[in-house]
Amino acid sequence: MASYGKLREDHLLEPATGKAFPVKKGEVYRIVTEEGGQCVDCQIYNLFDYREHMSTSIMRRQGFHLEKGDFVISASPRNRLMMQFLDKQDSNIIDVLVHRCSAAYFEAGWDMVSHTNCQDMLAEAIGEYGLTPDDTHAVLCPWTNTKFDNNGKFYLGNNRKVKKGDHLDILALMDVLVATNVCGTNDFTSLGDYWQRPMRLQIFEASAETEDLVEKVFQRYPPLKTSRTPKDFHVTRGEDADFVLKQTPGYKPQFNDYPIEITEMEIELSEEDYEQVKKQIALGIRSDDEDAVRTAVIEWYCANRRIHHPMVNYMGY
Amino acid sequence: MADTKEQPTADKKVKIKVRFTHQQMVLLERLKQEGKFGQSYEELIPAVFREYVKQTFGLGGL
Ligand SMILES: [Zn+2]
Repeated sequence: MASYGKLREDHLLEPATGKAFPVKKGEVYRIVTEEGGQCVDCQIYNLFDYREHMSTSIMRRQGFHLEKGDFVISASPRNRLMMQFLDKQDSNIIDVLVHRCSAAYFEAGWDMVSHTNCQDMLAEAIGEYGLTPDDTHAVLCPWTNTKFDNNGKFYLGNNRKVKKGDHLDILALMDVLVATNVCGTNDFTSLGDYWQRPMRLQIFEASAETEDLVEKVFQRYPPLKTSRTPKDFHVTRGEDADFVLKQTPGYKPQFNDYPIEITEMEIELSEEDYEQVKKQIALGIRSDDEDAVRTAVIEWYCANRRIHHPMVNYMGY
Repeated sequence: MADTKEQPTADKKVKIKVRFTHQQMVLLERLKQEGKFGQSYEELIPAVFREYVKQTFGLGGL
């Protein structure tokens, strides 16, 4: 593995929050599981022209799940390689299939008008760079174990094989803005094992080795002559300078449902019921007593009380 | 003659501490209002756990 430059950014990403950082060509953006696996969502923009941004629909040409060596690619008509996945563990499923959760998702599925959600968190994160909620785009979702059947219907798996300290490293092939948040669904789906945990975002400076990796990518895949930019358009809107991303000094995000409040209660199970808890733990499908009880209760609710709606109409919970 | 019948003893219980997010508590509160599984969290959580085991692993559980 290439050695990276100095760690220049180290940010604890609390549940119900998101954060955007500029990442320069040759630098490595790392996401670390601070406690364990769960879904996170990312958006990626050209730092000097936010009209150019990642497109998961074009990235799906590499597969619904991306691997080491695959690329973050910008939407048509730009169609440029923006970043490359350098390192990850096998248990980390990088999904480009699902759509980010939003306030409307929780209203449609659970009749809740207040629940932390990716759309609002990402909007607050990119707001620091002058972008509005309408500037969000389809997300890249590391640690998002989607599965699909032969009819193309998808459902959610879990992240129970993910370990504390697992990480995803993404090499910047151009100057970008990357926004990441802890997915709002983690306490309502198997992706977070029905719990919300913090993650960590780190940025490593470019090194001679990472610069060499960038060089090698473009030797193999030289920039395409037909990647179009506004200088090629006969209809344009605004001045190029309007689309450069600049940090707003003193910006304060306004995250809803932050911080996540926790209620602890003591319950009593009969010996017979507790046997079921022990068996689930022994099988490795639950990590401890608390996980077994909480997962059972919330998963039961989602299976039996979730509202059928096209906004949340995937199989499983 | 001495009564040899065993005196019934209260079922032994196992205490478990469980944390929920405030967003999950909204769901639990709805189940409490529904009343089907009990009037308190202490009642309804074990009852829903049993329902889940039945639904997921079958009547006899695992
Ligand atoms: Zn989400």
